[in-house]
Order: sequence, then C-alpha cells, then structure tokens
Amino acid sequence: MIKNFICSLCFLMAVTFWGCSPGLHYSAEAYQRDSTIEMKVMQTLKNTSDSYSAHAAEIDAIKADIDNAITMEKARKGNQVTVKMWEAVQQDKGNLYDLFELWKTNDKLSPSIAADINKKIERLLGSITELEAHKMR
Amino acid sequence: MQDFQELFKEIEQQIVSLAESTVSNYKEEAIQDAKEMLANIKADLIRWTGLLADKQIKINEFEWLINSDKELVKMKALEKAGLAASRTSAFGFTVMNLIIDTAIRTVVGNAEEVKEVVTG
Repeated sequence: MIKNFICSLCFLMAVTFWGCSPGLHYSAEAYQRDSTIEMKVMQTLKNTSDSYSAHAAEIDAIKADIDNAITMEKARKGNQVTVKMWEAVQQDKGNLYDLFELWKTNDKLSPSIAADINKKIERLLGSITELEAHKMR
Repeated sequence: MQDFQELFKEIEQQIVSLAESTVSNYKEEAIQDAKEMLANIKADLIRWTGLLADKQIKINEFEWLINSDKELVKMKALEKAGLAASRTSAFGFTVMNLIIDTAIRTVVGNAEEVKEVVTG
C-alpha cells in the first residue's frame, strides 16, 4: 500500500517536472529547423553584392521560416531565452533583419565586408543552434 | 596609424564620460569592460575605418558592423543564460531522481525487512 503510494507520487512528480519546462530540454526538431534556417541564410548571404531585388523572394521565405520558428518556440514553456534570441534577430540593430534592410536600402552591399557579414551572421544565428544543442537531453 | 591612435584615444575619453554620467556607482568596472570590448574589436575597427575613409564601404554599412559586435555580446549573454537555466533544470531532475530512488529503496527495503520478520 505504502509502496504503491510512494511509486505513484514519484511518477507524478517526475511527469510534472518533465512537463512543466519543455523549452529547457533539447528538441531534435527545433535543432534541425534552426540549422536549416541558418544554412538558407548563409546561402543567401553569399550574394550580398547582387541586387537585393534578385534575392527578395528568398529573403521573404527565410522571414516566414523565422516567424514559424518563433511561433513554435513560444509554444515550448520555459523557453523565454530562445524566444528573446529570435526576437533580437528580427528587431535589433546589427542583427539579421537589420542587415536585410541595409541590403534593401543600398541595393548591393560592399564586397569588401562580405566575409565580415558572413562571419558575424554565422555567429549570431549559431548562438541559437548552440543553445539548443546543449540543452538538457 | 597616428590617426587611429587619436581615434582610440577619443573613444576611450568618451567611454569615461559616458560611464561617469550613466553608471557612476560601477564606473571603474564599466570603463574596464568597455575598454576590453574596444580592444577586442580594435583590429576590425581599424580595417573598417580604413575602408570607410577610402569610400569602399558606406556609413550605414560601417554602423551595421559596429552594431553587430554589440549584438554578438548580447546573443552570447543570452546563450549563457539559456544554458544556465537548462543546467539548473538538469540539476533539479537529478535531485528528483535521487529522491525517487532513495524513497523507493527505503520503502521497499523496509517492506522487505518487515516481510522477512513476519514470515520468519
């Protein structure tokens, strides 16, 4: 009787603990999705010396993927940090969407800083995939 | 190079003024952090400033590059915060396992002992 009670209680505690903060746990699906977004972005940024309009459709598709990623991340409880990182990608000066705006404004970006841009965006987006990869398994 | 030395001297002076007016309680720490940040981007800053002076990049491109360094600091800080939260969660889960294991071992162990006494 006591044994059953203790076992049930432990099971309930474990289920509650796991269920209350899925955002703190690794998700292979989220990692795969974030890596794919990063890959698409890096592919597109190889062309910053082309006219923005030639890549506007790719950029819109990337933005749609990021919108979807944020929606999914918001649904994972205890996941405020990852959501904040994606929001920084969208909203902050010196981040990805700001770079897209810069590209649009200038039409073409200087080839002299193409390597700098790639390195920085890779590190900015890489910090999101790194976090997911090192979450508790 | 003389120009760059003057540029860095001016930036350092502005950092001190900014620290005095905004974070006076932690002025020394803030100045130290800012100088470290400046030292980390010094090589890039020299190159970008040269490109800007030669009109190979535009002012808004230069601004984006500087802002992206600030963003890297922010994203890395968020990454560390996220990892800390996940590790705290991992620690909590380990504690939970420890409680479960100990509770079961104690209760089951005691039950077995009682059973042994009763059944002789």
